[in-house]
Amino acid sequence: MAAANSSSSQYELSSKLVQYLDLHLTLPIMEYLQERGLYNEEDILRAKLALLDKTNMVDFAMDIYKGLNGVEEVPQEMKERRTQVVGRLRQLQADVDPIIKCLQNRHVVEKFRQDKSFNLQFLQEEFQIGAEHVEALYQYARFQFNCGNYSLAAELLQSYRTLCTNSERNMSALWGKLAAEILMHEAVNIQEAREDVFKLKEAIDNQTFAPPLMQLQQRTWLLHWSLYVFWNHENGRNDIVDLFLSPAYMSAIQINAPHLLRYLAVAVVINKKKKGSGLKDVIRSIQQESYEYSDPVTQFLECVFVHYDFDGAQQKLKECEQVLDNDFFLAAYKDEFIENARLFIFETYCRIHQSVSIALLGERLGMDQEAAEKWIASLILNAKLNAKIDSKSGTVVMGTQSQTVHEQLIEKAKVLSVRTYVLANTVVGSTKP
Amino acid sequence: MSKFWGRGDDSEEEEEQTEEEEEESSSSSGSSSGSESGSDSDSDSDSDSDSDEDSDEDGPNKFLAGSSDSDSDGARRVVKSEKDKRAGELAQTAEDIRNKMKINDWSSIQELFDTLNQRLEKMKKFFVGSTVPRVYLRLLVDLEDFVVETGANKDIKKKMSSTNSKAYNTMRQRLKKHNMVFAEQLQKVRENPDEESEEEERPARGRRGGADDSDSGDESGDEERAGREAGGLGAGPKAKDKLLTMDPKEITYELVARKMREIIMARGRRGTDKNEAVEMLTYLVGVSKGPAQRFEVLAQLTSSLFDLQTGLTACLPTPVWKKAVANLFEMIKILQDNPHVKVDESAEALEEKAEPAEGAEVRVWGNVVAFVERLDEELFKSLQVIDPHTHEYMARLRDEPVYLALGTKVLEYLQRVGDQSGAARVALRMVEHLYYKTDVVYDAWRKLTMAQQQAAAAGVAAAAAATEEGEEEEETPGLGKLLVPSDYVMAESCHELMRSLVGGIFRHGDERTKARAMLCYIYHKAIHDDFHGARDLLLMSHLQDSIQHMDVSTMILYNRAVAQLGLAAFRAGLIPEAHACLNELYGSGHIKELLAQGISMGKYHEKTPEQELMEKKRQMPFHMHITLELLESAYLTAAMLLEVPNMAANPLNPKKKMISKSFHRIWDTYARQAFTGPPENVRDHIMAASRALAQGDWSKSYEYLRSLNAWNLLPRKEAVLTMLRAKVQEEAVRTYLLSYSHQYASLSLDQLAQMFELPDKQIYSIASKMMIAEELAGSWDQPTRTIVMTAAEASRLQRMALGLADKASTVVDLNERALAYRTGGLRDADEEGGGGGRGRRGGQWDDEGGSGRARGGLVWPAAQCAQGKTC
Repeated sequence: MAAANSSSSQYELSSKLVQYLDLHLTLPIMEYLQERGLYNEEDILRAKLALLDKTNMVDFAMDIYKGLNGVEEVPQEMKERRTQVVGRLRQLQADVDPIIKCLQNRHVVEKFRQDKSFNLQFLQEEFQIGAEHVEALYQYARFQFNCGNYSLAAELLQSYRTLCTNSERNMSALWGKLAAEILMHEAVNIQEAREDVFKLKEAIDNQTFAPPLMQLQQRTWLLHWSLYVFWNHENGRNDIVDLFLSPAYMSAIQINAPHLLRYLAVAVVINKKKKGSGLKDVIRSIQQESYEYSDPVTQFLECVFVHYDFDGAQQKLKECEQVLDNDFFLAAYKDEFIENARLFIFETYCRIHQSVSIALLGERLGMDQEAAEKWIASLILNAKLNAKIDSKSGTVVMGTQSQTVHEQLIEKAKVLSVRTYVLANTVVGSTKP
Repeated sequence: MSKFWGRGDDSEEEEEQTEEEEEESSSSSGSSSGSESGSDSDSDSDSDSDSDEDSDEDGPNKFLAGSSDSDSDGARRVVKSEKDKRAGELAQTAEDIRNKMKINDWSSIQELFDTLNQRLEKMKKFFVGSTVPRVYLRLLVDLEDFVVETGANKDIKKKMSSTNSKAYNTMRQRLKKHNMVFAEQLQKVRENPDEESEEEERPARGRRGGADDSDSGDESGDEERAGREAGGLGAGPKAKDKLLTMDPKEITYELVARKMREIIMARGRRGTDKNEAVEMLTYLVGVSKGPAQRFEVLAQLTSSLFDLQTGLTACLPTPVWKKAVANLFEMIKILQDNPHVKVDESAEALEEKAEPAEGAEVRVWGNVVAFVERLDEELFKSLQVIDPHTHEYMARLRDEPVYLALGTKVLEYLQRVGDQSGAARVALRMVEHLYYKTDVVYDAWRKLTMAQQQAAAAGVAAAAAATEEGEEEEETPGLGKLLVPSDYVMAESCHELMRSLVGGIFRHGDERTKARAMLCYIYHKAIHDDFHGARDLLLMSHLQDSIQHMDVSTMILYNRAVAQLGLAAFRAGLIPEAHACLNELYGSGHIKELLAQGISMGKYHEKTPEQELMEKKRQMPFHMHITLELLESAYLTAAMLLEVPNMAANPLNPKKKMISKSFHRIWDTYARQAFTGPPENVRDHIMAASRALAQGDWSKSYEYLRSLNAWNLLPRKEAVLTMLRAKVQEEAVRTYLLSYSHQYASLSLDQLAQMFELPDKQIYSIASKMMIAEELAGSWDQPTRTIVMTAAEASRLQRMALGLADKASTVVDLNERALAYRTGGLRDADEEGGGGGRGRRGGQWDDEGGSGRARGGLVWPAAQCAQGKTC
């Protein structure tokens, strides 16, 4: 990747991310980078061209070449390549024709059952379609994907999966399908892609005989690919937290891709439904990995929850804004993140203070005094905060949260009696029937 | 060794067979007769002398014989009359046998033959290491001839009675077996039947060391074997004389090959003079023909050099070691210059080979890897033995670069020929010389190497004038062969070198090699302040789970690595990690044994001498030691920083959540002292510091810590002390707040900052952390910059009530578990708690990028070296 032309690209992750992505998946990131103008445009175009060289999207590559060099003519080899690609396409189409026709027949598909070998046999008997056709289908789908014809590829792969008996092939078909769905950029597909992510997760976890290293590699890929899905799905932030925090994937992050902690951190912060769930786990892993990876987002969490350095946190939050702006996945969530982060600061602040001056609070939260007062008042109104505003001295006074010994005792005893009750019930229940 | 035995046997029997065939026209299947085996033993020396005569060199032989004759005579003057008597008896019996032969009475012959052998046995004790009397040999010749004659004459055979023919058959077989031993002597007697006049008194050339014979009785098994092998021993000196006197140009390939085979056969035999064999081989190196043979001779010479060492515990003398190294250098050079020479351990060293054509592929015997490993062991042993405070030790340490250079060369060679597992083994040896070296040491090492090389270059010029052979005790720089070869370039950075070596080992080594290399690498990373890297390696390799099943020396290496890891964590200011690493090592109370740095006397169990010996063999050489004082200082300081606030947090029951047991033990002892004097050792200092810290007096506490001598050993002392100061301040704040917050209604931030000389921000952060963790019952009042305490001190009754509630909930907990256990449905959470998610992914050290990094518990068990029994 081209050298960064400003310090703001210091925390730009795309060079790390692309290592774990499909060639096609990197294209949207590059386009985004081009838009942001973080890097030299020419460099990006060059990188794009190099990338397209490996795919079959020849026309696209030609366009870029023209744009890059400012010429109308493209070199001979590109043209040759184009004819090659087209030729191959023809050939594959011919190979795959019978099976496609057959699959387009609604009645045939209706007769398919769960059992794949049965399906194969059925096709063999009825239409003389054998294993070589199925294989051709896979190749064709791959070729189409390589040409950038994602929706067709996804469809073909879907059909292929109903016929394929080889589990390894099945897996790569699934990867292909996921990639194709991601690249189609449509809400319907995202939903499907989400399901595919979970299917893949299951498939990876169930590979009992795969070498651990390979499994690790696949998990890392999945983690990266899922970013496309989850950040575009309305429930994605929950899924991200769940997936990333599951132990196997957490260790994959720690070993291979600590930079993913940023996405995890953001997801945790903006996760409204399950507020702060997994926060402790995230902070622990951020601390563990701090010697390997650290960016403003993780530093922000460290400031708030480890060092209780609120000035620092404020500083980091400002840096976060820029980082998120430059991030392909997170740019859309910037405001949400900032809002929630502010809330985090405030909450934590309130927990350790009994009275705070509103002026200072406003400064901390990046608002002026009046706005801060309003903001706090609305919090109090919504019963999110047990506090009162002392407007004479300009302070917020927190309600006491500490329990007396007496209360503590009562609390404990209550829990005890509940647990004992449950226990007794289970004992009785289990012996009776 | 046994391989030489085996080989010696085979080929010799062949040789004997041929000789036998000359003597005997009839062949018969041999069966063993046990009774004479004892008498055979000493006669091998005779056969030697005879074999020498075979090669037609009577002159020096007789001269030698004469000289040793006079020796033995002088020693045994007193018993001469009895000796004569015995000789007479023997002669008489022989005469009897001859008579019986005339009348063809085989059963009598058989009896008399037994008597004869008994007599011979009796006689033998008069000749210490003497030959068999000529009379006896002549009789054997006659008997043999007679047997053959009888066998040939069918008529006589037919006439014999059944007992007689049975006796004849027995005799024939026995004789055949018996005579095999004397084959060469018999041959000689046949050739010179007239030598009788001097026969009687002719003793054999002495075996060396009469002492050997005294214990011959209980080693008859060995001797029997030795007896069967002829040739070789003692042949060296005489042949040497011949070869040495010969014009080197006349010495042919075959001559050298034969000589070498003789020496090989003699190897390991009792009474073989190892020094002579070495000398002879050294000479042979000079006259050997062609690279292949030269290599063979060198290989043999090297293994003979290793033979010079006696006993299991003694180490190879330094000059011999150096000679062996020089040999190996030459061997490698031969291999490098002559790619057609292939080393193969299974190649037959004794095989009769024609002189190979120039450039043809030759397979020669030798195992370079084994030699390299052996050299390393010897170097290690000698470093163990030498007093580390002497010059000798320093001088010996200078040999390390030479060894490393050798290792590099061998490694290059092995990689070239594609012997990857061998390469891994050699690489491991090199790694084990490198891993404990800090950059400073390594640089010094490099400088030494370069200086040596320069000196060697200068020495070459000087050496032209002075042509002295380098076998002196001292290492004079002029001796080029003991120095690092000039074409060896030491790697610029120790780290790079380590990485490439270790990488090679991970790819090709076996499990143990890999584990050791991994530990060395961890150690290396740790001393280079890469705590995280080292920790990740350790956790990824899962060595902490498997170390208990490894050998003791690997366990020691593991302990050393963990100790260094602890020190690295300490230097980096990661106090909890440092404590976790060192805790187990210290908790056992056997730190010296665990690190193999000395033997501490166990109070409760006596060690047997064998155990002590084993332990001595495991000891690390002094220059590899980890300073125990530093280790103790680091450990106790870490324990103090963790434990003092912990004790302050649980004033009523300090042992409830004990972090460091050994710290508590020392603390209790210290507290019980009636008088506490000024601190003297590490413990006293730490205890004094702890007491000051417990009172919140951080500066005093820091002063105590600072006065510890061990810190001087740290390369970046100042940085560590600054870190310590900060830590002490921080923990002092915590301790102070925990202990005395109850006495305050409010505490001012400024006052605290002033007391502990810390910036406001840090105090604020520390106090906030404590509030969140509910260690401090208070909250900030921001406008006044104070901590306002909320909770009053609980009364005794309240505390007890809380304790009761806690205990009750524990009971419920246990009940729930019990029920879950019964119904089989343990909750997930319970299982999680134990595993902590570590080791979930079972990656081995597949490669450096590795997989399966398990995190979580930082608790590493120290590998307890089995003390005694199991080793």
